[in-house]
Amino acid sequence: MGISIAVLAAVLLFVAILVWVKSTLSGQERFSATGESLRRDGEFESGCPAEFVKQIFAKKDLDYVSGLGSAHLEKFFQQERKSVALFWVQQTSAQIRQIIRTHLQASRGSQDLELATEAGILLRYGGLQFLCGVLFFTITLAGPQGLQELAARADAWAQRIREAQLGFHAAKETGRVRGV
Amino acid sequence: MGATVRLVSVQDAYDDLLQRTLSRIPCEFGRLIYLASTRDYNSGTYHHEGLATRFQADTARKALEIAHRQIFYAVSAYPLEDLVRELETYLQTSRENPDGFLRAWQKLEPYRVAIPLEANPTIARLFLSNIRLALAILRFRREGHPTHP
Repeated sequence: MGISIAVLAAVLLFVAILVWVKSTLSGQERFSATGESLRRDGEFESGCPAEFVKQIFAKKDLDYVSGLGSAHLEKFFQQERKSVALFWVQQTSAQIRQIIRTHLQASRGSQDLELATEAGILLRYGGLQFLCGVLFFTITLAGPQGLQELAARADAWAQRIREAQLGFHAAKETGRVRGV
Repeated sequence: MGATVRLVSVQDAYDDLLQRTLSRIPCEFGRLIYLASTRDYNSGTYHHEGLATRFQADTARKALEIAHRQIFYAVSAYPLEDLVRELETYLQTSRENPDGFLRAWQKLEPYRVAIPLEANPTIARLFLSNIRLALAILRFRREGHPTHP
């Protein structure tokens, strides 16, 4: 009994990981094709403002819709919010992956790399991708309501990676100016 | 110096737009639709005859763009209940038949044009989703019984 539950859980987890990888890859392709997640001039967008992330995952709107007394409206609301929340997770994940890719390309040519800083960025990146995976899985299963804190944490980590990348770019530009 | 003069000028045009035009529109959602309608569908550039006459065309365009973006973010941040109220006010002021209005808006989704060109994609999604929900709620209320949105 215990073994069959463990096998079922492992299969579920595997399927979830497959779906997550497939969706993030397709999401990334879509963003690259439309240029949605990155600015045209190559600057990194600041991401979705925290107040909107909070709103997507908040319970207030669900309470309002529940109060209307229509099961169909409530179901429609859940579908809509789930779709927006999943889009945010995919976008955040794809955007951060793009930032890290650009960062790794840039750091290959750099001679004054700080190992601790680089390791910190990569650790944060790994943690954020894991968090996005957990969010994706949980939202798919249960909807975004109640995940406000987890989403806020993922958003804060993503913001830190964006800031670290901006700092790296600024330092590189300064070095270039000094070199001139 | 030139940049400062330009900024002040855009601010003046923006204030003028708020005072003379936008303040006459009774709801924020109506202002959003109005500002989106000043944008050319093909080129994505804004134009307002009166504003362009009082200020330079480029300054007027910039003021319209800023106002559009600001109102879009304000409306997108509304809780669903407030958005339903806004949409209801807009519907009333449009003087259209409410059932026809709701049917057309649900089928054609004309509110899609209200999204600014450089809007954050997640916020744009949230906006569209909230409008769909608000329309479904208004329809539910009008019909007075549970319906498929």
